[in-house]
Amino acid sequence: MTDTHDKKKMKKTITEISVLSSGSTHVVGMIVLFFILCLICFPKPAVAIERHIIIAKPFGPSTDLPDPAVGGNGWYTNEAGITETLFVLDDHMEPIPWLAQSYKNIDSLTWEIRLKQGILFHDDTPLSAEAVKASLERMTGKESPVFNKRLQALLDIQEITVKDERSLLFLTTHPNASFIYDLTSPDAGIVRLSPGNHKLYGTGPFYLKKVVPQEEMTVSRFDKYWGGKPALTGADFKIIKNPLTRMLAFESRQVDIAVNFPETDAERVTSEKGVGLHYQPTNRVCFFFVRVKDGPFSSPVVLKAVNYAIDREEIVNTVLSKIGGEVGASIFPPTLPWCNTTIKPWPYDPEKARELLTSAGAKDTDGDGILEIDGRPFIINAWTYEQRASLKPTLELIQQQIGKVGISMVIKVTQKGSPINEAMKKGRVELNLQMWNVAPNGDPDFFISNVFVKNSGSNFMGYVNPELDGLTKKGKTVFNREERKKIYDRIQSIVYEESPVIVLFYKNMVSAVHENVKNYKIHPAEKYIMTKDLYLDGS
Amino acid sequence: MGIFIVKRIITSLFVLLGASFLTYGMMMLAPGDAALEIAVARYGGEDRVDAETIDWIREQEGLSKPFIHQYARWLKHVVMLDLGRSMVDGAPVLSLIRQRFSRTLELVVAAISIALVVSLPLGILAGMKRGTWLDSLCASVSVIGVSMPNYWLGIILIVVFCVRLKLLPAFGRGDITHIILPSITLGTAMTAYTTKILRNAVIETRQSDFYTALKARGLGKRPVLFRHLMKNALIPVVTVIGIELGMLLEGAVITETVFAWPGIGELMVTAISNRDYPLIQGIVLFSATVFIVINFIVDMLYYFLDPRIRMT
Repeated sequence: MTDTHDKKKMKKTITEISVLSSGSTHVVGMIVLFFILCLICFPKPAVAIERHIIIAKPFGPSTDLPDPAVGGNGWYTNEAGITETLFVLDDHMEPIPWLAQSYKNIDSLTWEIRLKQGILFHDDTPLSAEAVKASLERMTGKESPVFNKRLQALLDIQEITVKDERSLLFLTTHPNASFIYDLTSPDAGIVRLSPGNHKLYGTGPFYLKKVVPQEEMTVSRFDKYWGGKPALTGADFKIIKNPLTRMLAFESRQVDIAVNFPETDAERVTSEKGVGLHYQPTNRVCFFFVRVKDGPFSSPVVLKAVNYAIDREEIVNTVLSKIGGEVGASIFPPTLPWCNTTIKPWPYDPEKARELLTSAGAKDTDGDGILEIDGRPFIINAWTYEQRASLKPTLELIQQQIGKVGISMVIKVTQKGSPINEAMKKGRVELNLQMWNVAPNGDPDFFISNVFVKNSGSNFMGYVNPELDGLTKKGKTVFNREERKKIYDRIQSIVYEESPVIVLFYKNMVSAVHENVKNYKIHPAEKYIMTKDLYLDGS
Repeated sequence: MGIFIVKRIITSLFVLLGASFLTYGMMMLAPGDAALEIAVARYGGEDRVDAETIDWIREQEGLSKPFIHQYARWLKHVVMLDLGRSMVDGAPVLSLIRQRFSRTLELVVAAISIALVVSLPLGILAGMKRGTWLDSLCASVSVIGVSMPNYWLGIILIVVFCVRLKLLPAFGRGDITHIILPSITLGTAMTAYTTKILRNAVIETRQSDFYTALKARGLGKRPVLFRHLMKNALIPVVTVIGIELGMLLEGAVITETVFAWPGIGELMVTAISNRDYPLIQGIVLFSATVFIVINFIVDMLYYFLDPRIRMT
């Protein structure tokens, strides 16, 4: 009897518990659902991780003290947020005052620059006009032990005068319309060196902590940065030259960002959770220098035919996996405000190419598939170099494409680009495939002056056009922006029509970035990486 | 002995002079403009330099002067123990070599240690058990070890241990874990080669008359193996290690590239590519000295290991 009673009591208790638990399950379920909805509807607050970001790059300083005056160090310290320049290029490649507050073009040779207030070097010394003068004279003074010829050739400074504590006057030797652009050059970064030149102080959001030459560079947060406290505690730049190792280091999650990522591996890597791929158009353009002085390409008709025979779209879709670049038209990409947007890419039209070649007297007389021109087979030498991964496959693809219209191409790949230029000067190469940043400081003059002007340093093509020479000369001395734009628009049209360079594509910079990296941006000029807003999200 | 050392030093000086002269001459004959190469390396790209800067570098670095003049100027500084400065970044050549050589040495010592730890027991066992499955296994492993290119092996090791298993670092220097994969990569071929050499040496020694005599005298297995057989079998191994040490110090460039381990091999490749004459010459001089010193040490070791050499 007692047993039966106990059993009933137990059954009742179990039923009560089940009812109760079923009720509470609903309540708990509702609460969980509410939280899930909250999580979906409301974004999580970002929580910055207090650790250094790790960035893998192909290049870095080769000395203990990366003095911006020497070699490419300015680029490394600028990217790392150690040094800053008086002006920087914004996302649209326009120069904006940075350490400078304002500027005035007094006459064709004189510029007045006023500095911002409250800027400190990393040793807590205030930035003054005297400090800027000392820093720039150290780099541009011919007697200086770290005289930077490249920078002086750009800036052409004759004299720097301190007007007051925050104002300077710059006198140039010749009129230089690109002066403000040239001050964005990373080797014009403003620095202070400790006595004995053992330490380097910049004004950027991060100060230099350690350099192991060709291995790594470490920077730490500068709490007194004039632009506000940086979000990151610092960064470790790891120098990994081999692109495959850089990619594997990223895949093994030992680096947060891998710069210059091979685009062909993009799809495979981004299929993994938590991995993002950033790609951004830059000022880097892939093009052929064409030997126009003599040989088959001295004929404008043949040049046009080659332009029609190249399928640029196919190059972008295959070699660059659709993300590594865009089809090119003018010598200046749309990232530059100087780009002549009326110029459109050459269409792919092999039929038209064949017609043009026939009209130029090229004919396949022996039926071997290769045209003959002036009784000789139409065989051209096209060279490129292996330092930039996409060049070789691009050349191989073009070899096939122009082979279809009857032009035979003998290709050669050298280790570096400069021997090809020498060979082209001597007439041994007709097509020279290169990839250049056509406006390292945002101004169009440098590239035009160096490449297209008669007998200029990089005019390997033997190109001569008096109109272009005159316009280039004028472009240096015209300070009105609209007038200058017209000059460079015309120059771009001439280059497009006469094709001493054949533009193929505009290169995108590709970086692999883990999802917790926030505010990472690729700049078109490839000059800046570390900003005060970059951070690692720990939420 | 003293005369031998003096003779070796004098010969070595001629070797160094010849090596440096030939290298300088060959670099001069290489295609391309040295001033342009230096400008490109110094400022990070051809798109950043103009003709004026290139000409200035040509004048500053004396590149417009005749080859003999340039070589004599360099030699004059070397005689005063000054290897000069890099034309690209202005760093002192000696400090660059010292820094990079120490890194390569770390890697090479680790690789040789692995090679010896593995190859000594394997080679002896294979030699002692000639014709057995163990011998065949060692022979097969040796062939595979020698056949695997360093570039391929390094990448495979990174994919397995770093990307998949996430056990070891994929690149760079740091704690002890960083050296494991590069030293295995560098040491694998050497392990295989040394195993093979040691096996053959053991077999050869076991076939010699003194070995039969020792056994006939009734000496135990251990004294015969460690006191007599090993001492004789190690002579060719010492030669091989000596030669390989020199080759590894210069030839570690592929392993260094794969694991972002900036050693002397990588420095040499960069210097040649940049036409950085003082640096190239410095490395050549240094490498030649290393080879000479290693050969000298090997000869000395022979002297102690093989009494027959002392007799002659």
